Amino acid sequence: MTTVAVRPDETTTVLLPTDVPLFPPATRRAMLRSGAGYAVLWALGAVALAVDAGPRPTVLALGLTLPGGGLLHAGHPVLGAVALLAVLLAVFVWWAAGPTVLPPLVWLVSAALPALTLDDPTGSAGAGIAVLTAVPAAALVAVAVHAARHRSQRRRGAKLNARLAEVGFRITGAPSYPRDAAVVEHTAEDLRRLRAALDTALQPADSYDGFTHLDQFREGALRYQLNALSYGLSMSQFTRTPAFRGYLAEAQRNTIDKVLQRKVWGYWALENAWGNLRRDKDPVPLGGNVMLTGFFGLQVGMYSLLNDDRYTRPGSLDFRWDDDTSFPYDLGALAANVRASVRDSRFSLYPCEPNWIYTICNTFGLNTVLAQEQLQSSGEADDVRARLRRAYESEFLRPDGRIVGVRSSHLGLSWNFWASPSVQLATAYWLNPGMPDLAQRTWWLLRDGWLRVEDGLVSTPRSVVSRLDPGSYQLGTDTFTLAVTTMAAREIGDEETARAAERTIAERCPTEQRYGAERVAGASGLANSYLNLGRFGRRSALRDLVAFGPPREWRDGPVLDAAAYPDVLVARAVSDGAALDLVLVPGEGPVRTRLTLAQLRPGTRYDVTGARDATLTADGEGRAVVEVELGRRQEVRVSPAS
Amino acid sequence: MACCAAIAAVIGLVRAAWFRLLPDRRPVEPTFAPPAHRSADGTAPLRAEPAGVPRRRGLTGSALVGVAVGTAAYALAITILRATPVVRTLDGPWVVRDAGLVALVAVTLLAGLAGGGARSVPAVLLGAGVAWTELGLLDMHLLGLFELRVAALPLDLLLHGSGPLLVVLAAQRLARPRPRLETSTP
Repeated sequence: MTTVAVRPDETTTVLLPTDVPLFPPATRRAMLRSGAGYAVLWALGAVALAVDAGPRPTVLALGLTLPGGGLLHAGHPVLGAVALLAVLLAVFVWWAAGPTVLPPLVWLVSAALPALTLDDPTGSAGAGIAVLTAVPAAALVAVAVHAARHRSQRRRGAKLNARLAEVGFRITGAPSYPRDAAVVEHTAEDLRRLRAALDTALQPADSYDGFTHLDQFREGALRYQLNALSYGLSMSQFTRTPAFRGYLAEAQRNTIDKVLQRKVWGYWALENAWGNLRRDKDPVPLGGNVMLTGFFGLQVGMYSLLNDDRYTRPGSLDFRWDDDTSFPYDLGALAANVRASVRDSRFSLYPCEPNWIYTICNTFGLNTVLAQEQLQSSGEADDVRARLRRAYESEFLRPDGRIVGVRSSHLGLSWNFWASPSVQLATAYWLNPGMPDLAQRTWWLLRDGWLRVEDGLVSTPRSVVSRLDPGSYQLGTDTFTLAVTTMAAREIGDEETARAAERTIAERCPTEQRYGAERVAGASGLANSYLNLGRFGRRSALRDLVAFGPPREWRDGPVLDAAAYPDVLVARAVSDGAALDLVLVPGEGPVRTRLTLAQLRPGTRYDVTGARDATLTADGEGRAVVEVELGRRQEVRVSPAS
Repeated sequence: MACCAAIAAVIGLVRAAWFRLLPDRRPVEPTFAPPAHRSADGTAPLRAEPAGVPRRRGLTGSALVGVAVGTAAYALAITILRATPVVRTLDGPWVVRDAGLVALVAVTLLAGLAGGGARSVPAVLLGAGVAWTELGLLDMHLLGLFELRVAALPLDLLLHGSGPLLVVLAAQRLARPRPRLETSTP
């Protein structure tokens, strides 16, 4: 935990690397290995054709050279196309859910079936040569296109660097409170949005009302909804009510408990089996599943930084499979897993689904390490950060500054369209705690063309991805993109864009209210949670929390430990280490109610304003109860008696 | 986070097309959770839900996964059997049949996994049993693709009877009521 007198901000220039190779080292190695593997298959086809190995072996060999190649050779082009499509479909399923075995299996079956079952497998040499030529030709074209694009990106990168050299990015250092970041008060709208999140999170452990149930593999999975819900709650606590625990902390713990349920993390047993060919159900494996460990680790880390250390105790995070099998972890173990996985990976970044490395997911892994470092220093965070930084600046960066969103760890391949601005947008936010200079540069590149603010409204180019709500896979809505824009702009310090994004949402997206809670109608729970994260953020809020931790006074000073919900809505709660300042709002009309305070100095007498009693004395455990009449917004101050 | 928005977009396109074909299958988007309550000392009120019809999320998806599993198991079993003297392979549209089986596995697996939710083992068994039954009848009696050389009656009973047996057992387990009483605690 770092507290200094003056925030040591730094202004710096951040240029794009000029030496990004056509194929970065780890990528090149993976591609060469894949190419060598394919060369064996190709040689089988070539030899079978050259030595006239007989109709059925030739059909089999050519089917292994190219999916559907055997059928094409034997004069069944339509069936050959079907076989090719089947393999492509298998690749898609592999990408979606990680079954590494599926593409080779389908490929093998598509080659073997015709060889075993065709009545007349005799083929023509011309078709055979065409089959042999197809993949090498496609690979050559792909390399040529990639090389041409790479040259173009280098030219664009050089032009951008000329302009970036003139830009000074302000990198925020360790904050001094309250000078650099005052604790602000929730507005009435903030409280309505917060209530929707609290109601969702405060359900019983086995209730999932308000959650989207679609699949447990992709973006709509429960785990992401729980992560995002908790991030929003934590951020509201950090910037508005750091001295309030009560139902706000309980809500965060509930989301943590839910992630530990098998229905949320049990997908990994399947993915590990069909993706890594391992029967181990442990959801915290070395070198994989960062989509759980990174996201969840940050969730637990944010809670722990703001509240208590219960999740740093050994076995406190128990992933239970059944009565006999469980996998006990704690925050330190999650962070240690991330650190070891980064060191173990050739790419430094490591996969979510088996084989698929996503740049966004790995920012969560780094944030887990950083958050844990504030609580229990391992001394290894800088090494992890340096390794990841090198990878973000080489293996996963185009010369024009676009971050490559996904790469296959087995094949080294990526997809050009996958360097989409949506990837840059989210990465800018989550990268800010650990690599603020790269986050600033990424944001600058986004504002340089893709993201425009006109007449106080945000506009983004119309594309399928930017018009997608990944929480429900709903197309045609940019609410999610605007939510992430709000998050990133506010975190980076571009408040004009953040406000424009919020105004755009307010103008474009209707809201719905029930029981005092409010949410954006038609948007998924995931989108609403990220809207909260953006709403409750501020400049460098995520960085301040994750990379520097809250000030000691907030954690150790007097806190509001319990209050009735929704009778008492806490709009502001902050401590200076000795006194506690609260702003309370009635949630269901005027009420007389009790507040439980904690972390007072045991046996000490305090002056109280805004409550029924003018003084209180803390008990031996530093706790006390005060009664308040809450008819409207009420300020309460508890300070040591003068 | 949208760690893979491109694949989410593809899923979104497939879902949009699917719900255009079957608009009544579009799920209702969840909105608010029930309002929560906590007392002044931070405890939650006890809440008991009456025992009722158990929630059966993901039955269709599980059954579709079962169809994929049953189809794959059937195809594997017949392929192995054809390599033995027990079965005589006859002429017929084998290529079309094989392509059909591959497509059936792919489609049902995709649709089943896209359904999400917890998997119901009885529903998986039900789907597998149905697939096994139907494919056996299709191959032997509709398309006439193979016949049994030896012990025809017992093997016929085994081949065609195991599917319905699985269906009956799975249906029994599905029909078994599971009362639920839920109490929330602080």
